[in-house]
Amino acid sequence: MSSSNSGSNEAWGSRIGLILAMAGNAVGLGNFLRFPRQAAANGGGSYMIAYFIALLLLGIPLMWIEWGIGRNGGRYRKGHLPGMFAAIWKHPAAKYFGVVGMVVPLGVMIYYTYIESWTLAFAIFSGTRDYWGQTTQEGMIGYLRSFQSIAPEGAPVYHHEYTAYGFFAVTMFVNIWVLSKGISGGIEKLAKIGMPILFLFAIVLAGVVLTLPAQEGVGTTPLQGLQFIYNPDLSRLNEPGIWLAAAGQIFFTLSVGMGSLQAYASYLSTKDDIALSGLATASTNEAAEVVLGGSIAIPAAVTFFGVAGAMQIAQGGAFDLGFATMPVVFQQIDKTLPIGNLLGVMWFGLLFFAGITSSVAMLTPVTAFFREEFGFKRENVAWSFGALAFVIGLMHVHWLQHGFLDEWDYWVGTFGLVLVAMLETIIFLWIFKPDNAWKSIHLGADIRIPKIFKFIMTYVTPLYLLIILTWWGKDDAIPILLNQRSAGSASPVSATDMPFIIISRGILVLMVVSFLIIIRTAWKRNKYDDRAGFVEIFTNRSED
Amino acid sequence: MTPGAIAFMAIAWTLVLSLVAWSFYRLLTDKKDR
Repeated sequence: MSSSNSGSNEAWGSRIGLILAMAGNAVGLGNFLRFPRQAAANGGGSYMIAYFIALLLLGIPLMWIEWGIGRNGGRYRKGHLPGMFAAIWKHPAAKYFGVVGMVVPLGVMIYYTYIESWTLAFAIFSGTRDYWGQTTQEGMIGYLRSFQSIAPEGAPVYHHEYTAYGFFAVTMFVNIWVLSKGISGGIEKLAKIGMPILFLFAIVLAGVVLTLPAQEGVGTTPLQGLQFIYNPDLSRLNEPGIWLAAAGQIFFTLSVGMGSLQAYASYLSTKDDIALSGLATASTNEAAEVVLGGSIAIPAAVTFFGVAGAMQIAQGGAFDLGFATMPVVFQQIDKTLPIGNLLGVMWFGLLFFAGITSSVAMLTPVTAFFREEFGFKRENVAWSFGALAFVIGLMHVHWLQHGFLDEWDYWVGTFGLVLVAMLETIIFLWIFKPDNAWKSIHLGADIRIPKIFKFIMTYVTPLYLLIILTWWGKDDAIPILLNQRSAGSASPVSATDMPFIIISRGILVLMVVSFLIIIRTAWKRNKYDDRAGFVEIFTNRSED
Repeated sequence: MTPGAIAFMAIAWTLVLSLVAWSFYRLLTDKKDR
């Protein structure tokens, strides 16, 4: 691969390393927990058709757009959206629109790392058979709530109340340590180790689950679980909810709208291909999701809980499916095949690797910003923001039962993603112009993207995004703001929880305002002329 | 599984796995890679 044109001597060590890191960024908890639950809960076949159409019209085009914006930003040593937008749109407002590309990945990283810490904890609990004996769905939910320190009063307690804090601290430390080692020394190495392990674990688990016999007293087989997902019932295709759910899943699964793919792509030069690499990344993610993600949790749930039971579990939520249903399944398997705990380690291990390869990516834009605009050392930025993320994360741990995490998950992890995608599509395709965007994506390309995608990126993708943004705004954002419902449930926020929701929103607003001020300070400090644009970097600088 | 579901799954898996195989074949045989 060519050296980075991002102005530092950071670069990807190899093309496979880049693809694995990009795919690692994309493959996350959603591939194995959210996708199967969504497919099962939304009518199987109807959902899958809407899903593949969304992949074609939204996911893959956005993947190319983000790689294109990122690589173009790297030409001016900009690994963050404020700089990337300003490099494309020579207007004083451009950099400020990029604030979403700082707040969204940082915000998601904070609570995502907390959820990731559950997977690390449960991998260890599986290995030590700590939850062995909790053989019902309800029992395991109680165990999970105990770990999260949100069990109702009088309920059995299985862990010290600070256990969750400890795992969160360890997980955050590992994330920041990897990030502090840089692109090729940290993130790429993690991807090269983590991704093969993830796929190996997923293949073994899928193999074990799909060959399970029908259970006594239940009578259903794993194939009936696959039937559940691939049931060719197309009668629900006329329901807008199915299309929105599928489009939302494409967003989450590919990690588009986050700012992290762009940051990774900024370490590429114009001689490097992004067209084929972007497609390879998207297809690797889809293989992990459709082929492997769909073959583990739902078929296992159907085998041990029957079709009706699995449907109920699917309606219950992705976390209950992953952290309560699957441990029950492993204990059941253990009765005939005494490797249940090993399967548990593999399941939670693969979720951990899926999580960490995504979360390290989310802090990359902020790290790049402070390195490039203020000249700070990577290690210093990583550990400083790691400490900040940890402190804010403690609020998520401590106030989980008050809906603190749900609030962030909606505003930055759901609505924020579509907002970023909408802005970048308009700036890259409409302001930069479709011809320039198309040319930019094809610099150094190994494949010619079919021309129809130029039309799709220019008109169809933004229209699709506008529909999602409008629909979600009408159905969720406004009702949540008016407290007609909460971010995590259909009922309004209670008077007890409201102070925590206000703090949660207040921190997000503070983050937006702080980053706007920091962006302004950076531009003044570096004497950037918004109308003239940045100077293109042709040679590598020495390491910061 | 019903034949319809098997066919549906086969199409979905073939689509995804073919895309992975093709893109990685192109990546690994590309002269620019090192």
